Amino acid sequence: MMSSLRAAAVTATCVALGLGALSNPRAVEAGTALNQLCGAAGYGAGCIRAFKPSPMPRVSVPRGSMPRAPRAAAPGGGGMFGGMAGAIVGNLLFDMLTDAIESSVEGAAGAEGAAEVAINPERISAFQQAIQEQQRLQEARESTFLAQLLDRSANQLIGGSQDLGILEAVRAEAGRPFDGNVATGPDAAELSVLDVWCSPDLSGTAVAGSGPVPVGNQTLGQGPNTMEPVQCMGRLCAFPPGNVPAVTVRTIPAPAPSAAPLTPVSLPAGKGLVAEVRESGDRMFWAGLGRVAERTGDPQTQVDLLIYGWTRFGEAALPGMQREIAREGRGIYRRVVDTVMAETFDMLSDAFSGRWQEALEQSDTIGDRIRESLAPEFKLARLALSEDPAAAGREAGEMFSEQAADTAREVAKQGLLKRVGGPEWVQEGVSHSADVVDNWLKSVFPRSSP
Amino acid sequence: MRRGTGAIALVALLGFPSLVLAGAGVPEVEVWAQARVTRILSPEMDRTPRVALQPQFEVLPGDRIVGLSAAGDLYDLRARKPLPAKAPARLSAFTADRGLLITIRDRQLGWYEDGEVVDRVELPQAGLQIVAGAKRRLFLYGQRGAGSVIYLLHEGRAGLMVEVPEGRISSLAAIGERLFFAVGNTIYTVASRQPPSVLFIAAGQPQVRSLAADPVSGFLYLSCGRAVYALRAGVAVSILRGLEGILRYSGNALFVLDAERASLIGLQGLEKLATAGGAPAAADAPAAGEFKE
Repeated sequence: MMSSLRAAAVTATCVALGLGALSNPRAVEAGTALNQLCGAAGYGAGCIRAFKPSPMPRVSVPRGSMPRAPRAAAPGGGGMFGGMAGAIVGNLLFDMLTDAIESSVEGAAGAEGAAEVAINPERISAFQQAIQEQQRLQEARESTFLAQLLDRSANQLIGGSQDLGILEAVRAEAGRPFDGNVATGPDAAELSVLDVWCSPDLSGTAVAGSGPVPVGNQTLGQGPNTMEPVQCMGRLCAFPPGNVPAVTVRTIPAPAPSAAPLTPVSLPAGKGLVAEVRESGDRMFWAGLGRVAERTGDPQTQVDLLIYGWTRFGEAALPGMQREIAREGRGIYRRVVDTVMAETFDMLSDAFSGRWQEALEQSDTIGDRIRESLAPEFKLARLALSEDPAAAGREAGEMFSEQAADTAREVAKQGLLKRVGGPEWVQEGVSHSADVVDNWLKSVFPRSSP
Repeated sequence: MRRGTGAIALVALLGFPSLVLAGAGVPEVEVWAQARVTRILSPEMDRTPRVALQPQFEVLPGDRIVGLSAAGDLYDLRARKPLPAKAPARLSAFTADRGLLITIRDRQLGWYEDGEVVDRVELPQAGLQIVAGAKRRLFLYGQRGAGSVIYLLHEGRAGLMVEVPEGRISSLAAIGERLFFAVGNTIYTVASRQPPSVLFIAAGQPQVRSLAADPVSGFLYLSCGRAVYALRAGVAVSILRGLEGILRYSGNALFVLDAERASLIGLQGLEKLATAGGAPAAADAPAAGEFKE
């Protein structure tokens, strides 16, 4: 058995060091290839067994060492191979078995190992299948939990942030350690809940389409394939040349810790503690992101980050001037809405009064422009966040006018199709137009639409 | 922070039942009450001269734990003695892949064998750190200019995987096909066929010092300053305070090394963080863990 363990260890070493594209343990040829590379590197033929075992000394475990807790069977894993240790054992066994197979196939220096392992092909096959199954389960389990980790990342706890008041203290909180370690005053008790965890079942529902905040458009795997074989000459190998990364990660500037006095955070009464914990996650995340947005020197990054926060947390998530501008922008928007709604019905009235041909011609053009305008709410937000409320107001006015005209076009088209007049379809058209405008308003300002 | 007399004391801080281990000259350490804590290495329990350690270590199968001395020699942290060496190893970094110690010294990647370090692969630059990932991948990362790079070595092929134009990667952890790495106080993640993303910002902290992941429970552990946090579902909570931790997760335990104080502890039972039942239950929960002398 020891020789097999030695061989397994050496196999792992060679593989880890890139010596064997080779030692995919599922392939009998792998050992041969590994031997070839090892041999080419100067260790001679059959060099797998020329290596000595990794000489980790066998140490006695002193008192106070980690207790060997009974290992529960891993979910879905079962049997003797549970959890990571099971995977490790599985890997080692796999290597041992593979090595035993290789020994029998190669017929070189394998007598000792074969005699010690003493397993027939059927048992090897059964073992291999069991180990492969264990590895598959392990990978599936990791994948599941990894997805859980990512899919419920900080920026997805939107469900707990419906009350914008929770974010009022974002800026003041920015310098506070993110688990409330140094919380003082009357909020200490509330903040201490951050020292416990909440059940994944209580973590809220992930919002579709959300995920960790992307910091680049490039996708790993779509870039250039920079992986090239390690070049070996004699016993020494070298990394292949090449400096083109598969992916570039543009970091966001890390804000320095604030030296400002810490401000206790008032959490709204009546919320469950778990909800507070969840929302604290939002605050923690946004506190960092908001500070980054404040400090970054890149206007585009700043606007993008602020829009991100604004669309998810509302204007209360915005810092300083941007928050004021957003408030002003919303005021402008409301005034514009009043005007546009009135004008919309005037236009509809004109259309229904027989001047629909002009309205239709105009609305076709307007409709095309609206379709070309992607995410008009972001355009408004971008302007609002650019500290130009007047421009934001103009933009809002144009958008609402266009939307109103588009509504008119739709209604006029309905009228054209019906080619009749009458109170029923007029009423229907007005109702439809009101729905269109209202839905659009809700999509732009989901928490503040009239 | 209070200092005790060397005995174990149970305190409640901020409504959070914690265990405090305090001794003469030993900083106070607080641990999430439901974690089982084992001291593996600490100055007061070690009668041998304290060895200066570098902030890195690895947990091998069988709970063998190997660190790196300030001189660059491999050091058995349980036996409190150097690994056999025929010559000074002078390593700058190392990792473990299924019990095998893979080493870096200068620009050479190699392995530890029979008391010797066998240099094998010349690296593209000096100063790289190394992390072993799944499926026998090796990730090497380090500073390049004002930024950082991550190389991947896998199945005999190597290449530049990730470039970070600005900022130093302070830590890297790999789960399956996904990498987590920290630059400053921000944790990024990259995975195959997905754009790089920000996963978490540790607001108010200058740097995420170390990362470790439990692929089974789905927790990502991070250390900032003198605290260790468990992160999942977007919320990071402190589970350990008082140690400047380098983290490794192995088996079912999180290991935390404070190299400066030559202190190493293991935390078990952290998977209960996921089912603690929310704040009220945890706040009322009895202290289940304790430091072992």
